[in-house]
Amino acid sequence: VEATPRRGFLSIVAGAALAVAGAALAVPAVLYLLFPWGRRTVETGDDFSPVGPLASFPVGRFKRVEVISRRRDAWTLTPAVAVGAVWVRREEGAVHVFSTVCPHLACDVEWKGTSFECPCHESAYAPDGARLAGPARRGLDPLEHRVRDGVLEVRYVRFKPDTAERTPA
Amino acid sequence: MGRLRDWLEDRVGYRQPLERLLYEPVPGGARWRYVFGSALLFTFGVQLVTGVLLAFHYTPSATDAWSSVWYIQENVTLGWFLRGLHHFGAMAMVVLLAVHALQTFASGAYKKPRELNWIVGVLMAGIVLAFALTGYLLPWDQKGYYATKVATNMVGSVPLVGEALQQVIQGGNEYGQLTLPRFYALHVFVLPGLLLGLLGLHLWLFRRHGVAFPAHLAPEEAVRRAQPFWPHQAARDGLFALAVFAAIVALTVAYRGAPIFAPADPARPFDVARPEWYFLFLFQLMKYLPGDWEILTTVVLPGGALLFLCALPFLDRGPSRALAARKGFAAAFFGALAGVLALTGLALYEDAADPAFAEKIAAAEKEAAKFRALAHQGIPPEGPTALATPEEKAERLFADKCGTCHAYQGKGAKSAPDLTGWGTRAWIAAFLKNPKAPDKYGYEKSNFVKKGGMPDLKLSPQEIAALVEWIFEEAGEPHDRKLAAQGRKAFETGGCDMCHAYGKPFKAPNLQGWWSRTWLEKMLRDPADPNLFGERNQMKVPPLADGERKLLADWLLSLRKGR
Repeated sequence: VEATPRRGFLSIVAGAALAVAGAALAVPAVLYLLFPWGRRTVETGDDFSPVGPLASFPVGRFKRVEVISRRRDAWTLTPAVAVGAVWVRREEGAVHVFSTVCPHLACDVEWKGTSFECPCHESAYAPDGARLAGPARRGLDPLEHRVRDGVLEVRYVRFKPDTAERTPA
Repeated sequence: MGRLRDWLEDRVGYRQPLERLLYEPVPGGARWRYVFGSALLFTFGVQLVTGVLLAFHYTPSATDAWSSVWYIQENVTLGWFLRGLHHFGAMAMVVLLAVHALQTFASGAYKKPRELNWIVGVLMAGIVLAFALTGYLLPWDQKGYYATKVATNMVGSVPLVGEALQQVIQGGNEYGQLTLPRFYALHVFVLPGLLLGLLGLHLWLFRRHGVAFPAHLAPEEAVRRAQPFWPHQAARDGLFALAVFAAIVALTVAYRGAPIFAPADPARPFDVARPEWYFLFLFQLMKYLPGDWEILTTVVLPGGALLFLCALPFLDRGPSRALAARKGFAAAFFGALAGVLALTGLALYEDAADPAFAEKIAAAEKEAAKFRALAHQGIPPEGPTALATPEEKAERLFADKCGTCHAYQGKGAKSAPDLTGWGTRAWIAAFLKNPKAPDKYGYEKSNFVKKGGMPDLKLSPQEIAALVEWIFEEAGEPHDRKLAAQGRKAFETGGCDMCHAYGKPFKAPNLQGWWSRTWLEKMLRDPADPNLFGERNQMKVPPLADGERKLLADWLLSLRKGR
């Protein structure tokens, strides 16, 4: 096909029309797809949740309990739902509360009688939460807790996995 | 760049097919009248892109569909815009489809050798309408729910196979959890797949036979005047597609995207259910036909139209593509089109001329706005129909927990005082005038009646007015101070204190703070308190959570606000 000025002009018109329509669709599309980036689409209650009477926790060994709190998940608001679980041990004058979430890559750690073990990548943690072995970069995440009227209350937080420092996810 | 292209050409061999695609000669030259097909193709592309994007957030479940669409509409960046493009893009496709069909018919392009392509086009038109029908339900709002129910019930009315067909389409005997996933699967997998397949065939056949150039051109003349598709026809196609896109964008911006009505709720009526405007002619036709004739609108007409269109190339076998040579068929085609337009116009006119319809639409939009606003607080897991204003929640709670004894606005039982207008001046005045009226404390089996209770004090209207003001003062409501002081005096001198005390329990309730919030919350906790009804109490308070008690108290107090 031979090139003429008219052909050149029409080519530009055709190409420009396609480009304008394409861009008008592509720009909103990209912004739309990036919507969840940096947004807290899932949020759980940040107040203390009761997890049971203090006396119900054994002395000297860890017990796993679920933490019931409020959860906002995109459009859904659930007033009371298990948002996670904690390992609790009572001692004379002290209570240890650790998140069950492995600080390596967020599998659920298990209490093996003398230490915690992660079933995924074999990270291990001492009863005080300190890292013993495996790929994890920090110890277990202790959670803020208090005792009100004999009931243990926990403020449940999820932390970013696989970092040495502890930052809320 | 050039070397990269050569490298690619060596391996893929794209140049020849691309050139064949772009430089295909258009016999008789490029024309504006050929732009509609490619505009349809373009709009379908817009539908594909926006549809895939919507699927990133849309959730096809009866409990979450409305919420996810609301989320797209009010939360996701430009979600309202992309959903609007999809909505108005669908309308544009229907309009372009009609124009494309009209242009194809007018140019006689269904005739030999293009019969098969005409039939493929008719089938594609059917698929586009199926897209519209299935998509209408997906937001699971009142409009889509009720309008689509009509459509599936129409299917059910078809003789012999109707019931089975309806159950397969809607996923069982009723709309429920199984319904939306089916419509969704049809809308996003089956129909696009079918349309893409037929589209490929349509374009293949189109390229095989080329455009149907104007009938008055001799074939040799058409070949002589041929121009390549790129850029001559492509520029026209591109500009027109851009204009269509601009119209879609303009409509989207003007209407702030697509509408979303209140969430689908079979328990709540929606009396302005209408199909999308391009189905209005069938809707209108149904109004005129008695039930027994329904098969006309459900089977005979659509089926007949489809059959006629598919058979057209074989019925009209004349060699000439000129319109003048096929007057009969043209009359049938344009006559049917005029009928559709007339019925559509009538349907629109009847609604526009009906002031009640406008009111109902306004009410439906208000209801929708209420749900959209409530949704911002978070939607309960059981779904958006459970969203309610505090007053609605309190009314439901009242009906559930208190309505077993108390009446309110004509509903509920009558074995306790009627609480319609409770706490207002009028209610208290009526009570003081006749405490043992059946709708006050004279209900059946009332201790008030059985054990004497408050006698009729034969109070004068002035005394009643003064006592009412005094009770309003005790309740902490705005009141007339002079009258209230008189009321207080009447309480002390008029014999009320034979039974009632102020500030301490006595034979009858302690009147300090009577009808205030503190008093009401105490009533809702323990009405048998010696300061309240004491041993004469008959009110059994059902178990209430603190939040529920507050909700009820707020609502009961709001009933008399300023009255």
